[in-house]
Amino acid sequence: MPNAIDFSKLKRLTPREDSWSKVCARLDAAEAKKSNVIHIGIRTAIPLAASLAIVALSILLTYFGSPESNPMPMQNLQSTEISSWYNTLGDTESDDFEDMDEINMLSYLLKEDH
Amino acid sequence: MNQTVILNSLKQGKREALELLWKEHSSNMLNLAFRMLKDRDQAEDILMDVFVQVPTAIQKFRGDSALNTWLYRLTVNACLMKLRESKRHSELEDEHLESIIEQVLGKTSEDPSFDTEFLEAGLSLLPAQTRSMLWLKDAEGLDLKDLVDIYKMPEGTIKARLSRARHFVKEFLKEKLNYA
Repeated sequence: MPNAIDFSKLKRLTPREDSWSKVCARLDAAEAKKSNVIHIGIRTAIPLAASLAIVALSILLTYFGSPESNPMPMQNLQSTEISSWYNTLGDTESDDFEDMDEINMLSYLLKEDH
Repeated sequence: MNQTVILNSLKQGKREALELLWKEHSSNMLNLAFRMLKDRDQAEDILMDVFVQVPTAIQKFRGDSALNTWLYRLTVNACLMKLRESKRHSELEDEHLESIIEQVLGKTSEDPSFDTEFLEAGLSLLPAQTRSMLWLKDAEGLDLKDLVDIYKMPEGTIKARLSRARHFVKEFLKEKLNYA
């Protein structure tokens, strides 16, 4: 090209001798970093998944397995006598404890007579 | 080894292919980076950075252009980023170039005899991108089509920039040699 500037007299550089080895070192470091990230990702993913499963399970149990949602009848837990005693509690001025004492006293006296 | 084979090897991540690329193009890329950054150490650093990027960047390369053109593009972009980062890009803007030429240097007719020191100085006054363009065209002998591909600019714009840059450098040389 007639109009072109002649750069042929300018000094041309060549890469330093260790430049390629530095490139290799940087590439190795980048690969190692990448594999570490993947490894750490897997290592954190497992406990994270387990934690999520536990949380999900506890939520499910709260909603579908809690006592409020499926209340157990009182009768199943207590005998009919006790429940009837509880139900009549406060209906009269004297409770049955006084009667109970009288019965005990009578039985004691009967034993003495024997 | 042809470009397709090298390209496939690079995409497979083969280090030997990258080394081949290094042996073939690193010197030209270093000179281009040096012309843009005007600093040997930074140019070496950019060269290494570009080659570290190659295994990743090659995955997106479709092979539309020649590998050397693609590598020059990576180098130019990396240098421009570096210049922006270091805020050293306060050089002459292209739009001011013509007025400066007219105001300071006047008109010329013949080619001056070149002096490498003055040539370096004249070249360094150009904006980094234009400097790299001129270098690739006149020193590395790239075609205009390659420059279009590298700089993603219309051919007319590149021609105009090259013409103004040549004119500026020649005028600079003439002035310096007249006063020398």
